[in-house]
Amino acid sequence: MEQNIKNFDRGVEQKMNEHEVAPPFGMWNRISAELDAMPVAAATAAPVATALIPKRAMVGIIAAALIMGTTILTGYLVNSSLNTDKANTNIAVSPKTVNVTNIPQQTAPVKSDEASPMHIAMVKPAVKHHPASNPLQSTMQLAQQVQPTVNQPVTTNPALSNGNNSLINSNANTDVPTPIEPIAQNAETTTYYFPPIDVNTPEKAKTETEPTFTIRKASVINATASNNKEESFGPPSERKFHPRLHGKKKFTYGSIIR
Amino acid sequence: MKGDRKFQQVLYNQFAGKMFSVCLRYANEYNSAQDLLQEGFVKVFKNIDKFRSEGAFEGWVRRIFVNTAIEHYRKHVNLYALHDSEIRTYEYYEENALETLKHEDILKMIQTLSDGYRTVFNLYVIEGYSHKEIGDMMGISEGTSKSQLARARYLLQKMITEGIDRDRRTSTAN
Repeated sequence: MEQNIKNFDRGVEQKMNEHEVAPPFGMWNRISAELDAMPVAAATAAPVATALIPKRAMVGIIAAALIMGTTILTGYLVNSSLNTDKANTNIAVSPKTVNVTNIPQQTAPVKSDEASPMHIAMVKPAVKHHPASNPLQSTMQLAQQVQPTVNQPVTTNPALSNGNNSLINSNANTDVPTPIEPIAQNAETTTYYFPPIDVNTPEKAKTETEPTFTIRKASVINATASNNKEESFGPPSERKFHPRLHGKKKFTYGSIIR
Repeated sequence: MKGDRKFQQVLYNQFAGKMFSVCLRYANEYNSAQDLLQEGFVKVFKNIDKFRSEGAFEGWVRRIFVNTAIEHYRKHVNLYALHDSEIRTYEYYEENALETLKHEDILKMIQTLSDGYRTVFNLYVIEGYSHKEIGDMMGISEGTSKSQLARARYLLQKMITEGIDRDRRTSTAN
């Protein structure tokens, strides 16, 4: 019984596998068309998801973001470099000025012929105007009347003098008065500006630069006071106001346009 | 290779005849077999990069077509276990009856079977699957597969025997 069944199955299998059936005409075209349609469907399905943001818009957004980022970064860098320069200039200039008045007093004797700028204070002739006494007298004439204080003999302050001062006074030449005066005791002193000190340079490499003053003798100062115009050395509040005249035109403060 | 249309056409020309024969056995009509053939080749070309070269390429392609046919008819097939009285062999079947029949005649008889009988008969007799494998593939038990196969065999033997008798009667009448 089972053998009959096996024989039947084997007979059917042989009959079915022995023969091939030709496929219908045009089947390959149908398969090929379906295969061609599948990538198109996949390609059309993909842009639906990305259609919310177009490609050009995405490129524009990215470019704008790059430009903004570059601008901000450049501005930050420029601003930081300017601040650094300002900080460097402030450090280099301001705190390194040396005041002349800090120089200690020198009590050593100085000969009159030798130029010792440390003992000479630059005192400019003070011009005082007295219009009430003589209104017709010019300020230049007044300047000649004022005696400059430079190169006048200065009596040594007894409080500052020591044992050497007596020797100075004995050796002093009475014909040529030499100002022996501490610089700080003079009424009018000038503060000079020294160039900034390079802190990076080693101490050995530094060369001390002494202040150079031009010695103005009494004769030169007198000539200068008599020839030059009058000058006002007082504070700005005391100076005269001289309106600037352009040619022969009268100075105006401007016209009101109505 | 996956998108090479000429290569695909070569494969089609090589396997279309055999695969269309498979489709005709699993289908109940000619047009349905055409649909199975088209669907099967599309699956082959889509998944051709998954072939591991572990076996024969023809066997891999044939399995794709069988699975395609099973998926196509599993929706419409509601198989159930038959009663023992229905599982029997056709007692009038002659052992050498198949030798007198042609391929097309047997194919037409198979196509007249119901979807469940035809599918189980094809899977067991022609493809060589066991009842356990058929049960796993179709989602049925081994007993159901056995009873479906026995019923399909009985109907085929009956058709073959009745067909031979009809031919004999016509030949004697002529």
